[in-house]
Amino acid sequence: MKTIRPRSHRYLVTAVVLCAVGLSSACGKLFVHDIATDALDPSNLADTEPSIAVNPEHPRYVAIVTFSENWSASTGAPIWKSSDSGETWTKKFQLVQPNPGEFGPDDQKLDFDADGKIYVAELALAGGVIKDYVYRQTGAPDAPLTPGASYGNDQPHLSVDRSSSSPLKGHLYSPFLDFGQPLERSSVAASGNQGIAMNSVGAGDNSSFRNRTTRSAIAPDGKVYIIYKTREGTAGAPPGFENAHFHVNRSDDGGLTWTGLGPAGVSVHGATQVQTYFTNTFGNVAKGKWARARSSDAWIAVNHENGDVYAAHVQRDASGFAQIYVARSTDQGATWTAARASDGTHNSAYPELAVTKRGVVGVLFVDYDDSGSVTLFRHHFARSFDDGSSWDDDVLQTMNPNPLSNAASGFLWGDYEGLTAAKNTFYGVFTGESSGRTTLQLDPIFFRQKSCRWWWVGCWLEDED
Amino acid sequence: MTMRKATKVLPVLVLAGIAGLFHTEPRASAMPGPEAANSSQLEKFLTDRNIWEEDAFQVFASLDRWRSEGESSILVFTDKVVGGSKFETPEQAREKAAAMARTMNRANVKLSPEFSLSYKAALARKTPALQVESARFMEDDSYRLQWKREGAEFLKKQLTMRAVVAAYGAPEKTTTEVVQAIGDRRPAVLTISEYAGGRLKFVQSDLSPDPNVVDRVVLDVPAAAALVLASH
Repeated sequence: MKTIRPRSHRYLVTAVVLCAVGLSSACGKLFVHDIATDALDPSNLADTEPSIAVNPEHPRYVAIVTFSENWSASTGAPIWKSSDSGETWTKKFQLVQPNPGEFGPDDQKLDFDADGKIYVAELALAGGVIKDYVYRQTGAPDAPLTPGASYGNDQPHLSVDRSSSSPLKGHLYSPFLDFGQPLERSSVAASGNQGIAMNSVGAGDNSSFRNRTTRSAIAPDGKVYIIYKTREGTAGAPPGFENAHFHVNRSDDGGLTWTGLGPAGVSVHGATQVQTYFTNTFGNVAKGKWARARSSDAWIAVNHENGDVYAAHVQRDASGFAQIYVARSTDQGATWTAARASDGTHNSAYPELAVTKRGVVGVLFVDYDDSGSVTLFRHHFARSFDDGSSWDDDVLQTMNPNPLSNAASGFLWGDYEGLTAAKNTFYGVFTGESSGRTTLQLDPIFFRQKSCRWWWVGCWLEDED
Repeated sequence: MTMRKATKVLPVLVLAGIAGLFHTEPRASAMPGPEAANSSQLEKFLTDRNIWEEDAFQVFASLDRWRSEGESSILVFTDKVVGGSKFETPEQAREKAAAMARTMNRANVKLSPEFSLSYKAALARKTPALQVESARFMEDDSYRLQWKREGAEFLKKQLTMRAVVAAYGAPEKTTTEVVQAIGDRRPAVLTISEYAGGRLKFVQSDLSPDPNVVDRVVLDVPAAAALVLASH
């Protein structure tokens, strides 16, 4: 009997391991899908600068905004929507013209609240003036959305507090860059009433240097974080780069003040300056089309289970290449530990970060390979299962934009793209080469990946919706 | 053929060749050169009422103002006309606008006969004068001169490139230009279709509510003024 028991345990363990590995390899498969079709995109629009949000109540409902159709006096601009986890998509023309004579969408970002209601931050051009609006859902999910008060300036983003543990649940925050200041300043407009009224406050330190690249994330305790950079000149920097610090600061009072980490916040890479991109020519201009990378070098995300904060930034390091660094703070932004997420072999930028329920960290970024006759841009999705210490990287797509009819040098995929997480799955979108279209072009490419360690059986079995 | 015959035939062939040259030369001169063809096409464009509203002809008849202020091109939109020169500060643009405003009071230059006839009705209309002003040009955050008047219409609304191509054929050249602003809002991606040797460019913008519609026409001021104005 003694000889049989261990053998049966071994069989059992083997069976469990095989089941778990099988389950994880099936469920953890990377799903990548062009969401546009000839019917959905008859004008072959470039669909640049995409962002994504997932309904936290029902993660099979996914929403994306890209630069697709513009709004007009009679028709809204679209939100791409899926109700089957990104398998099939439709366009809902919900983003109405906020006021007569206002053009858009220009910059945009979207999010859901805890009840699954959608919010979209939009930049509109009104004559010689920039106006931002947060659109909110006041009717059926696919009905036209309602714009709130105008606020802000350049590149509005959006985060909605949906944590049940937050005293400020339902508040929303829209960081933007204020060009109305002598030195442009990272600012945040906050609202406690769904964007009907917005209160804008300067958040970055522009006492010596211009700010840029402002991104936000909300912790489960309702504290709000922003990351931004100070542009500190080009002395000693190679062409296309400039010296910078990437700072994180925090608001503990619903966006009224931004001094939780001191007046300037905390540099995620320490006191030493880093070199980051500020260029209209990301790529090799001698070998094809190129992109711009001026505010494409920082992102921030929070682990909603334990409050750890993650900040991604671009830094040209000893490899000689611009690289993606991800820093982690376990003390609400006071101190940071950084590791490199890219592999040190190619210039990289455009990081977006997200963290799953189990603490898996994902970063979407772009690099380029110009070793051949043409520049190849590669969208990467790297994941860390050990709090950002080490990274596993997948290339989502390798793209030569030269033959793509609607790919315009200077703005290939936009300044940023989309990555989020719901429960244990990452959901992302990037602007890449189409598949299955009559005309080869840029399209919004959706991807998702459930992300658990193979032995996290509960994670694999957890119902996503 | 013997050598003797060949010596007789050769001068005949040479003479025939010379005669042919004299014969073909007048035919070649009857074909318009590229410059003449471009001017002819530009003239056709500048009098085409499928492209322009009546206020545009007032602008074309006043091209000497733009020319005298050193503007090499103007951008004709549906509701305004914008100078091609970019100024970094509002002060610079205001100064230039003041200088141009002074030129608006001077007498109109005589038009060349074809345009005088074509624009007669448009210029006879009793409309308030166009206002010269400086304004921020949002597309690239520059400051520019512009002519505007409440209710004025210049370029036809809803003019599509399809209609232009149907009337004039495919453009000579089509290019794409991304216009970067100071900030990082969405840049305009312009599709530029050139005619008349680049003297006239139809521009579509992806920021327009309908990107298929012509957003503006860029006009070469010296070339157009040379055609339209008699005194040039």
